[in-house]
Amino acid sequence: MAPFAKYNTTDEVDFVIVGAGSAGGVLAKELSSNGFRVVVLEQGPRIDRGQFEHDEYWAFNLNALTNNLRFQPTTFRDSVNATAHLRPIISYGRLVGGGSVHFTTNYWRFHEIDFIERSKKGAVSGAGLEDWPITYADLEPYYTKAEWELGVSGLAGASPFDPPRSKPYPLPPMPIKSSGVLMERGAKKLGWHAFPAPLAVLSQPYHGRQACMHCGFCEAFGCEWGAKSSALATVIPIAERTGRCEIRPDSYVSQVEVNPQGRATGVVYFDHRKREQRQKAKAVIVSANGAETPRLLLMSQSKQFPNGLANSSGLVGKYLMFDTGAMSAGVFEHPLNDYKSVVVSRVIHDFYEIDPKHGFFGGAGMDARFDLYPAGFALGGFAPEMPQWGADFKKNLREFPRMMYMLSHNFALPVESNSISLDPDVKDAWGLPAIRVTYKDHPDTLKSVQFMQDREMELLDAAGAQKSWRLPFEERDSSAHLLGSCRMGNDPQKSVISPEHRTHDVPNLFLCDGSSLVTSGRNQPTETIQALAFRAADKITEAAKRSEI
Amino acid sequence: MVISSAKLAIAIHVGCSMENNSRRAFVSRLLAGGGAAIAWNLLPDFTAAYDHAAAQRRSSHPKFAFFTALEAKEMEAICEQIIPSDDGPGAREAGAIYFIDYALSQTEPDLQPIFRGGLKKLTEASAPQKYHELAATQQIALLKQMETTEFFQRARQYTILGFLGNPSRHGNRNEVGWKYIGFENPGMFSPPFGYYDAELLSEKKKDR
Repeated sequence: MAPFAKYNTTDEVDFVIVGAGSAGGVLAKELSSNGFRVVVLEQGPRIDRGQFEHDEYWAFNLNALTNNLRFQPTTFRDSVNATAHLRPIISYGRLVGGGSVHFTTNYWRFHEIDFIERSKKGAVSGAGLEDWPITYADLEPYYTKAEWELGVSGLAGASPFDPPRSKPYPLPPMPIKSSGVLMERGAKKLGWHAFPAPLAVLSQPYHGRQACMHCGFCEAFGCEWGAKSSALATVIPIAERTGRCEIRPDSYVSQVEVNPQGRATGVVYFDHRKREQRQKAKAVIVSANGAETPRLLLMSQSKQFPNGLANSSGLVGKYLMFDTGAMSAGVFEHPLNDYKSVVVSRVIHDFYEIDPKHGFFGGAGMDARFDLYPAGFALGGFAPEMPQWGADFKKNLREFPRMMYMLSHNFALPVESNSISLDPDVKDAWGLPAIRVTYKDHPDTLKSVQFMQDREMELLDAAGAQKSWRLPFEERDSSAHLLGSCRMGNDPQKSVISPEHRTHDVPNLFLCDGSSLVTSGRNQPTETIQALAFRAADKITEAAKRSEI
Repeated sequence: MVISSAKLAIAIHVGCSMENNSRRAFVSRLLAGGGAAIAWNLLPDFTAAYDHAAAQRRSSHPKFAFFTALEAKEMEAICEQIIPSDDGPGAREAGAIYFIDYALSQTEPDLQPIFRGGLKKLTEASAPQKYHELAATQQIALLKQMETTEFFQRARQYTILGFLGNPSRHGNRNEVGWKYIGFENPGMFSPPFGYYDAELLSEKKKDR
């Protein structure tokens, strides 16, 4: 085995990748395997899987795996005319492996319609809906590649709504949970189709990794068994074993530097001691997530690029799409013990395209899940009109083992004013401008969420719930899905990157992460982000071989 | 370390399962016989948990790092109203206040002013008595008046974390909170997980 690569900051490597997450990890593995010298700068720490804990306080309050607002404050406003106030509004994985370390593991392909929704269904007033410049067929080989390289469990053909696929899943589905059985029962009564959840978790040993031990701490936690197919457990070790890729944690990038010819020369970053460093590279790839990628471009403004780097379209940061959906809870006669094993075991896609006769534009998937750990359940599992403390509240806590949740994942219409920008006043602990989020859901998106919550309540009822309630969704929660803020397109005036992920304005600057998405799909974006990364790596490699970078 | 303590928990759980089961049967017989009025501390399961938690509390945390003696009494009274010890161990038996003291002194000192200020106001509102000296109905009424304050919301959040969080943070002593709601954290499980998937599995076996 080659020794792990270690580069000097003065070495001009082939690629510097900003962000070691879902996309950055894949790009690092692909490009280093293709013979390129790669440095990956990750703002978060490297946390070994032996250090992962089953501790809600650690994950949610101390932000062990996510951005911490104490050091990186965010501000929020609901319209461009409003004043932004300090508020938690975005959440992302902040460690080597990024969000893929703590995500729920729902691994859904987008469907054919997701790429061509604008031309099939027409414009929506107040939204900037566009077709993608690529189709499902373009991405299909890369969906397959992602599933087989990373390790995904599922049952091909189980959903009548599935798009065509060139290969089945590499691993059989995870065992059904009680919530899955109840979802199947309810769906059967209602004429819907529950199918085994495709999950980025190993149901059997795969590529030298062990199978899931059903510990129950997937969502928001890291997998101590390495059975979750995160970038940390899969592609990053492969990248390092090439001997050409250095993963450099605790490296917080503040600027992409550009020479007078308008080409990127490398990046400026703060190291673990907050000392400023520079990493030179022949090309720069930003995979910092849908909030940090546009922020970095905006922070990289200069005389040459007064509105921010790669922003001649003015669209850097715009058309941000958030995680959108509603949750409902049900209590059943017998214990489900849904806190055991993976979060989700059954999914429904019957409402992937909601009939327009309902009077709004929308589509969604929904799953039956365990969503709230003990403290989270007590803190936020009950409807607002139910007791929130005291003796009656405490009695309700005993329903924990008999509960399940339904969660919808809704298409979020892209709206131009929904955006990431730099807060003019608030700075982070490194003195960099804080992320300012402007966001208001499109009215149709809210209607589709309401519609899905009605379906959830129907399903819980059909499944035999003794009690059920709706959890509120009106108030904009913090979002962990950060999509669309540097959208892909053929027209440089209407998009930030080309279909090959190259920025329209800077020839050796590429962006690849949630920001690249043109639409949100049904808001389970990780597989699409990783398929795009596998595809981008091919396109970038081809361009480099043609000396076109 | 999660795994090693989890394995220990399995060993303890398996070793005691017979005894626990017979205790549970005893308890449910009591309750089925119109035992709604039975005080929880008469029930053997809970008594053992209570004693253990109380002993731990006495031995490992003789002093508070953040709270003054008065603040601790006031805070613990609030914890007891948020998660009372009526039908099973509550915030008091879980040692929720020790979690809160740990969080405020060790991990989140930025929250100290909210708690210090809130407790001071509560004591003032209870004058001439102290909050913890008031009758339960008065204590509840005062908290209801404060429900929308940041202090109360934090007090509720941290009491819940001290009741149901991981015991490594000094609350949820002897996992009394987890036991109360029916949650286990051994670090691994195997199917079937619950009643309905077990039922499906046995139906499938019959079909074969």
